[in-house]
Amino acid sequence: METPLLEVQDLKIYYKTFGAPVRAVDGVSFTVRKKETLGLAGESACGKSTLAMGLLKLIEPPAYIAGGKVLFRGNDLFSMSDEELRKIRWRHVAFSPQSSMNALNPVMKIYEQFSDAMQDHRFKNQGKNPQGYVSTLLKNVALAPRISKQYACELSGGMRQRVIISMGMALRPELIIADEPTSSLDVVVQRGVLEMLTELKEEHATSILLVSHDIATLFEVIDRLAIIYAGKIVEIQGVFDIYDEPLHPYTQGLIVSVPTFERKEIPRSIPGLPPDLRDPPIGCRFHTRCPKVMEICKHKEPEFKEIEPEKFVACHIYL
Amino acid sequence: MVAILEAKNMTKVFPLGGLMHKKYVTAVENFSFQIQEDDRKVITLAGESGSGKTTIVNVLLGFIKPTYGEVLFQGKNIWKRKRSEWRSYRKEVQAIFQDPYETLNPFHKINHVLMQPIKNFKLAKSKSEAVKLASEALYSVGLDANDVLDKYPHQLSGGQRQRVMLARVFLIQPKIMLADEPVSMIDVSLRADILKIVQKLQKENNMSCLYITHDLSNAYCISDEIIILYLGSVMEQGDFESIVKNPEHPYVKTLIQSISIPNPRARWKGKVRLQDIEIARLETIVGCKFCNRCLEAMPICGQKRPPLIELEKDRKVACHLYV
Repeated sequence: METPLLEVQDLKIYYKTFGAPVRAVDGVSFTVRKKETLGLAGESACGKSTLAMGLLKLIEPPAYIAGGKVLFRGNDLFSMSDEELRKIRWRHVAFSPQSSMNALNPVMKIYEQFSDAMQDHRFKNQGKNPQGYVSTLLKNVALAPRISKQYACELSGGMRQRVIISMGMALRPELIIADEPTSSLDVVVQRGVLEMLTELKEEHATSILLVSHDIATLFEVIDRLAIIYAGKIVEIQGVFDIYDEPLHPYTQGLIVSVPTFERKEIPRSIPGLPPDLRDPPIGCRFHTRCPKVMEICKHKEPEFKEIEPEKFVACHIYL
Repeated sequence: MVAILEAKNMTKVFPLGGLMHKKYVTAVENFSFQIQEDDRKVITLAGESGSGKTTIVNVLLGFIKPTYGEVLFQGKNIWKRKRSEWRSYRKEVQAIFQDPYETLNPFHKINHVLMQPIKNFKLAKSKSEAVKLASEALYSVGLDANDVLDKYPHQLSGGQRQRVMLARVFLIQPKIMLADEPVSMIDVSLRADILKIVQKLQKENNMSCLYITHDLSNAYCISDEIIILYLGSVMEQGDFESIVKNPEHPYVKTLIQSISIPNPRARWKGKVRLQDIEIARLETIVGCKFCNRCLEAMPICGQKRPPLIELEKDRKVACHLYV
């Protein structure tokens, strides 16, 4: 079997507190394959962003990596030196952060920020005309070349987010990790940005890990979907399979909670709140909200496994 | 028919920039709408960021004065009212905002939040009656009074805080509720509960509701009518269902198509045209505001602002294609 582009094995990222640590990501395993878009969805405060940043060790204290491995093309990222890891970031695995408002340097013009990254990673593909290369990158995300001579504060939220995405693409990485790339944008701009991301992915055979809370938007662009709940991945399936037959009760609840124009009625919600991750429920973490809860769910944690080819789920119903 | 709340050709212009190079931004242009006394329903006011939604709310609530035009409450201009009449206006027009954490004073317990309007509007005769009223209000939004009355806002979750704000509306029983993005800060899985309460409040207490949002699919569940704004002007308005099924304005068409349906087999078709909206707003646009993004633009669109014309009953559109 082909080695996957990115393989995450039993990754644990905790936040130090005065009491018990907050187990934001608690034993997560998944793979990102070549040329695929993997979606990662879940409610707020279930560890999505921590996971996205932790993959490249971009977390800062009080967060720390409590265990597990991240393999990029078979190489363990966490056992590398900081310098080696720095060379992989952006050039091979780019991270596009959520808060585009703070991600750009306010005192550097956009072009300088592009050229800074390109020089630092000794990127040569831009040819003799780096200015022209940046203009093409900006054009790919429907921004005018004059943007490169402006500061971040002169741009709107949508424009900044597009700049961030084109910066992620600038060094032609093999994988882009995009944390909520469009959730602060208007629907039409959101659609435009995601369409561009997909187009760029097709063109350069890039893989994308798309983190979002918005399952409806994810369905527009992804190939496979992973659902995370309270720091654990509960289900991974191909996008059509997960839509036709969601296995985990949480996934089922998430899908029906999205309103559509097809029915003029308020959708059903999942009762209750996500648990406190300092002291998550014993057994299955979803059992306190699960409509199909059984006795075993309350004391034994279900194993995350492949019940059929390409169908991963952690639920006692299928064990 | 008497309009209870009416905006007549309301325009709000904000000055921008320094003394020498003063620029003006028209946040809302010629906005007219009315809520009838005997026809209580939910109207959605939708548009992307910068389309003037919040400015309209602020003008309707009397926080800012319109530059031109007027806001009439029961036929009377709200800016020509006496001070005492403002109180009755506040009693009849209540608002719920996007972020309940910002609207609740962090130093006051929930008890205080609910007692204040009871005192202000003299809703109860005795203290025990006031407590009873508050408990009833909390019960109606699915909260337990013993649980929350003695807590501070930071001890509640976002959904609970928004419920407290809705309990306040239940107490005051206004004729009109202005809800400015009430669910956008709440998790997707819990939004439905808040929407249900908004709908229940509106139906059971016979209120009208102006629901301001950028999220059309949530609004669709509870609204009867919709007004769609783009850069401060109304593009299309009318019955929500018929606009969703059969949009007329090119902008509204793109907007409706761009809304994601949670189905991987119904993905977006074609591409949208993106453009620097910021720039477009600062320039004084003579023609249609959507002209430079419009796929069906004609020469006249760049020269003349299209008027809002009535296509059929309760259905208006501002586009030269229909003039």
